[in-house]
Amino acid sequence: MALIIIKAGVRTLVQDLGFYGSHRIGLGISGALDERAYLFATYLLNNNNTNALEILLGNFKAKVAKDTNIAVTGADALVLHNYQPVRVWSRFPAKAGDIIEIKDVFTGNLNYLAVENGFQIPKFRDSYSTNFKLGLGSIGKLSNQTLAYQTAKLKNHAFINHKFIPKQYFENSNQVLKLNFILSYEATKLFQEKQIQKFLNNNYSISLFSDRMGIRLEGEAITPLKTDLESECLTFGTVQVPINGMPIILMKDCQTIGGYAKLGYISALDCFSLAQLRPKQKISFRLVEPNKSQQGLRKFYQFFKKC
Amino acid sequence: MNEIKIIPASDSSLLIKYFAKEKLFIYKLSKLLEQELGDYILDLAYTTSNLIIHYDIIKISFKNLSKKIQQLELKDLKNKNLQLTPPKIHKINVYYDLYEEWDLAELCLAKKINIKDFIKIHSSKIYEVEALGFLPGFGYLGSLDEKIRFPRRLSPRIKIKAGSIAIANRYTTIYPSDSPGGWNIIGHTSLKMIDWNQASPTILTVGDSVKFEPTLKKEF
Repeated sequence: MALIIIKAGVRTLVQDLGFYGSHRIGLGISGALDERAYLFATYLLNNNNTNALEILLGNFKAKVAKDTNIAVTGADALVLHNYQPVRVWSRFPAKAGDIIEIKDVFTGNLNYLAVENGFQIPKFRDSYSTNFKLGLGSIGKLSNQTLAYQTAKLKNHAFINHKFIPKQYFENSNQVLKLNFILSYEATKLFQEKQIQKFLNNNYSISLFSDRMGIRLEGEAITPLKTDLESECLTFGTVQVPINGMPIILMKDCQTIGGYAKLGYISALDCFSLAQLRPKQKISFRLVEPNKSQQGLRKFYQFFKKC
Repeated sequence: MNEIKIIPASDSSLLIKYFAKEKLFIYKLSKLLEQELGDYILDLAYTTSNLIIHYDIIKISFKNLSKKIQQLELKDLKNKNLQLTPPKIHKINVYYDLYEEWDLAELCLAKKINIKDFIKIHSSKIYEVEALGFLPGFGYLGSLDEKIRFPRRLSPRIKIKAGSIAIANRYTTIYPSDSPGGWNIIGHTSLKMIDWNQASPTILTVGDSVKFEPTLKKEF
């Protein structure tokens, strides 16, 4: 008995915090693109990072085959429990036979749906994550599967106070989202100062050709001084500039090495926000110190670790 | 320690760049790091010239971890009792093929080089696995003889079959799984380069050597 998925929308994947221990063979982190929404979903259920469904742009419908508590977080969407709206960023009790739907998504891209104690599915390389690009993970893209879980005692509704969640999750604004950016120590060797200033002083928009591997940007082209560089180990958040001059921000399914010129990296917390932006939305960059950026992420992880 | 430089690569990872030429330095460093600083390390990956550490930022900051790395006596790497696996030498059978949609004939024409010579040049060298990446198990094997270096194809193919032997710039590789790709295909091997059922799924490890053995039999 399990969660029976009736409609999986554009793309539904199982994720956790990613693959660790396989980077040296070329399998990168993957895992939830928006860790903020993912971790709050598991937090609402006291699950402590088990797993959750990452649902892209709604159109999702599932039947609950036995009692459990469900949490839905992430994009601002119409979420229905037995055809009655429930709040995003909340937990609610669901009985055997209940229907859960995520219909229209108003702001953002991704919702996370978790059940109490997580889904009982096999792990791949010690993780529940899915690398969509490579088709690696224990299950892959979900369609009409059923996902097993343990029955849980029904609990009351619970919500995450909205003061803990950035405004961009609720407001469908045309405003430019400012991302914290750390300039690489080597950027001045790889780019002329003028080019770096161009990057810092202009707005960029999200390209339609963005995916779980990387957010491609459109705007002022940045010309690197060198193109074919020694391959270096990479991770998500890196801002690299290929020959066409259009920066790419690497996301969770990115390659583990690469040879493009790097400008720096985006604060991890802002990468989570970035995952919820749609094509054409605008961003700009604000320089921050690496220590300050790391402190922000440390506080964030400490919050979830304490519970 | 002028030989290495440590820089943040993200909020939770750092990159160690190595500038000298000692072949196994990075591999030995990876072992030393796991042995001495394993408590802080969530994962690491490396090429022959750089290494990334994903670390637990609740336990340690970039500043303090860099300090600890600097304090490791890297000069004495040789004297440390590290559990090193000696690099392996892999002999890989290759069927160099002129047909299908492969690029060997085209490359030979472009360089005005005899196919037999091309095969001889490609298969006589022992290559080093300088990095693994792009795909799990995809090795960057260097360096190709200058005579047979070509850039990547302008438009990548939608699907290159697993086992394809390919070249681009100063590297040659064996595609471990079906994938889109822009490298020039020159042959094929029946050897399976990756098996996810194994604890160590890939045949190649950074630092290993590869020697291609031409075969006349099409084994696939």
